Amino acid sequence: MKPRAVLIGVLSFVGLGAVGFVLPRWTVFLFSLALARGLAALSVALLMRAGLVSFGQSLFFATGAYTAAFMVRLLGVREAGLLLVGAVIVSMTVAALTGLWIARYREIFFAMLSLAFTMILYGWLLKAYWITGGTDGLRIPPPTVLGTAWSVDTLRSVLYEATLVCTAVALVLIHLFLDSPLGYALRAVRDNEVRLEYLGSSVWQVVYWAYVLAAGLAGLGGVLTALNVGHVDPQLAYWTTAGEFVFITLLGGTESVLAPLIGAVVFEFLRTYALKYAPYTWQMALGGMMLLLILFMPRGLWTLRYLRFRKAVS
Amino acid sequence: MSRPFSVLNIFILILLASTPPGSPQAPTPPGAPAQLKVGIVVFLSGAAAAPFGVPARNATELLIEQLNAGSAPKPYDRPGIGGVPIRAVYVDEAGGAERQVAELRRLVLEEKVDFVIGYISSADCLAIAPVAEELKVLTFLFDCGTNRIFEDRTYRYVFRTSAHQVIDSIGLARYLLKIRPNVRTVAGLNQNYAWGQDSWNTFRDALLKLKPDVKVVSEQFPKLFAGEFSTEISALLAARPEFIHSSFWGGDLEGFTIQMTPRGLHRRSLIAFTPGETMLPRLGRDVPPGIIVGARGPHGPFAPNTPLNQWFVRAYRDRYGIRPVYASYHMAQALLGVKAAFEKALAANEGKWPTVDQVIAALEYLEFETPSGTIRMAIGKGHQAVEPTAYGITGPYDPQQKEVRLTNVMTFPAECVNPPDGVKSEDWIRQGFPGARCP
Amino acid sequence: MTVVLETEGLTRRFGQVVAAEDLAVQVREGEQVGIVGPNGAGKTTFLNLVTGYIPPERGTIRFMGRDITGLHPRTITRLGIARTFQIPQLYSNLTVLENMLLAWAAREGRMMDPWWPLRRTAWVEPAMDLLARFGLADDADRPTYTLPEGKRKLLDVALALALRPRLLLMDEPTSGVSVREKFPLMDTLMEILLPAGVTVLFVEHDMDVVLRYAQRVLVFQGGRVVADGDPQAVLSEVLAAPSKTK
Repeated sequence: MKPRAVLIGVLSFVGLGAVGFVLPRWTVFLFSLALARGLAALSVALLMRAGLVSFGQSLFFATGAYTAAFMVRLLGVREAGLLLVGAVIVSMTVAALTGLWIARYREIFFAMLSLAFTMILYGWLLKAYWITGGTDGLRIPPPTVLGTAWSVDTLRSVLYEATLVCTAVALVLIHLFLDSPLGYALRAVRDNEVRLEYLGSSVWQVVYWAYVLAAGLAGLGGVLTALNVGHVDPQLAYWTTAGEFVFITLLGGTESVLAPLIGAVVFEFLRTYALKYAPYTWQMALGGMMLLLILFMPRGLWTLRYLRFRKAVS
Repeated sequence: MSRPFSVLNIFILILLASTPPGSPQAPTPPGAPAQLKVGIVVFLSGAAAAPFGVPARNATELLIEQLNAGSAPKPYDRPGIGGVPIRAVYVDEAGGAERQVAELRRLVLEEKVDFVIGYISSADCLAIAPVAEELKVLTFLFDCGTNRIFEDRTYRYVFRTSAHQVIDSIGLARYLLKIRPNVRTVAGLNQNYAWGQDSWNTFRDALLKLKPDVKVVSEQFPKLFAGEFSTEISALLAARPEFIHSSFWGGDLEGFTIQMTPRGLHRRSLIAFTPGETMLPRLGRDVPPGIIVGARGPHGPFAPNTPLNQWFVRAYRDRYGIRPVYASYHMAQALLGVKAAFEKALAANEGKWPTVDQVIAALEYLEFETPSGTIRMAIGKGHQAVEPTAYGITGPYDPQQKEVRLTNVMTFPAECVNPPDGVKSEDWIRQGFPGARCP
Repeated sequence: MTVVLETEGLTRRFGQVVAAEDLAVQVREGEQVGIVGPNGAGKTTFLNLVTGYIPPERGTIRFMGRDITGLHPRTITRLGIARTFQIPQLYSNLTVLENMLLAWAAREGRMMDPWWPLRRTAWVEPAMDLLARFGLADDADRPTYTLPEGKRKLLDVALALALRPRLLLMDEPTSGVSVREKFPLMDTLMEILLPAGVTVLFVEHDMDVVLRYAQRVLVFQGGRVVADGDPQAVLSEVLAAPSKTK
């Protein structure tokens, strides 16, 4: 990574961290949710690099969230760090299993299978209500962070900082990943599968590992959401949640690891203000705004970055 | 001589005219805010809007207007709450529990509401209650059905001004045994999610406790919003239960009723819809006779004929062209309960504006009048209301009321259908309803 | 001399069409073999069979004495057979250097590396060297889809060579290339291939190219090899008796 980019990155991280203590608490809370959601959208963007559109990242989002819930309720784990690790591991394990099958497919078949898997989880969450709480969901009591049981007020800020740290770490890891041979191989899959096979590599393996990695990302997003909200319910696994992730990715763009996160933040705030100013027609208002954005910026909000540059050049 | 007089006249007239009508100059208590902002969270879109959210919102609009103007009947004739006008901020409950948690934070921290009334979905109630507690905001759950709220945890800032689904289930079990004491076979038809599952489980457990030799011959759990029920109707026709329990609501309720009527399921089996009252004004003539309906409490056709209720029904009908259904009554309970508590705390505080802690003290174990009768915050350590419940059987259509009339109406007092304070519902049923006082 | 490639009884049909029938071919190390024949004679099918792209119905294929019949293209590639395509198969959206680096990653067996960068010095230097030998060094950072056809062909071969194959199969290396550029292109290729001791088989339609660069010619027709030997001799025989080849 270029040193200037690294510097900007570090400064932004510190800045956002400081902001957590200054902005109103509800804004900070929304931001935490947006970042978590952005991680799930990033997982969609990752798979899009390989030309695969996943309508099933909600499977791992929900798995991460419910893993945390079960770890708290059945195993008595209260430390957020352990919950995060557990959720990511379980999500990736689920992907390691479903990936064995789904990595063989592309395009519409991949999309439909991913959707099917997430709806299977949704159905089970609904039916097995004596363990999962059904539509009532499960409550997650406030976790300890770094071994300390923070007071109710400070916990919000601490969870925000934790979300920020996790997001930053994930971003760095994914950025490194995209520069690696496997990251490039992912783009190669989209470009020319035959050529990849004729280089002696297994396209299936490339897709499989990308799928597992994406699952870990989405699972991380899920557990962060669960810890911030304090409640999990089957809606997390419903396909419209996955659809939202795809939407956010399209909104933000896929050219940079930051783009889906920006899309998520914009989306979260758009939705909140739609609810505030148009309580009876907010869905229409939101849809309208999104339509305008997609029409005028089809490659995502990220392309705004180039607007200034192009003007300078011309 | 006449000119300065007429100038003075005109001046006085202008002064009088500039006083807005209907806003009596009631003195506001010392320490009171300029207005009381209330967050109202109900379904303004989606499937639950028409049967519950919109009637609740209508009731809110109507009551706040009437209360602010001081035109509600006694004991609610003091304008606003303790003289302070009320202003509502509406939030759509759609979007799921995660969204509602975020919206509650926004309501409290950005809109700075003084208290919150709302939540129709049990999932939302369960998710936001801990958050309301964290934010230390007075929150009144007004409609959701799950009995878990105060049975699983204790809250300080969260109250529920209407009874939970246990009264529907136990009440129906008792009603059934009154009208069909020798019933032998029953079936369940409930939506496959928490509301349906809980309603059925409570009803079945209560009935089997009261009459252990009853057999359950069928349990149908169609998907929520399935809309099409030919399979379930066939299964129930084949199973031939004497009685069918259903907690269907909204589009499923109306769709199912319309679909089963030509196939005669209601003639073969006695069907009961615990929240069935909502469909009476909407389906009118299309509601077949011989069906048991409940209103989740003494609401609508089961409401007592008090001046307060008469005023409420008339005012609602005049404004919205249709009578209020039980969701509207639930909202009335919440708003009037809040008003009663604040004004009681005000009086106890020698007319100075009370603190939140003083209002909480007034709310716990409070008894207040509503269009549904007296509401007592009797259980859940004084945070959960108990209500009597009633059921009736649909009869002939009344063209003046534009809905079917109800016969065989029976009311079961609160002590019959609510567990006592500190006892979990499922324990109370399992132990055989100790302490219940039933007719 | 070692027999690098040997096929026996290789047969493949597509419905009614006989694409390969009882092919028995032997290629020795270091040979430069041209494969000619009319359209539909089975030349590309032969390449596809040898590289494992399609499985034969009958027969065996041996590479360096080892039976590779029915193996997957990626396994066969790793054993040392590389091929180029009629239409160059490149990663159009990546740059020329990135294409080459991916080939390098494959060659080092490190394609599945998830964290260390693709652009590592240990790879970039030799990759650039190879590109330079093909005259592509200046185009290293251009996206491949902007390259003219001739350079795309060169890159296709360069990628194949990056894998250090023992046997290189080229499918019409000069097709689509202008007449002026054909010989320079083949000169460049042979200059690199011959010293490296790579055995080359190339399918060609241009007889001039065949005559100039092949030591031996196989004539395919109707899925069979109908002539095998010295280019001059075979081709004049074929050209002299057109009726026989119908």
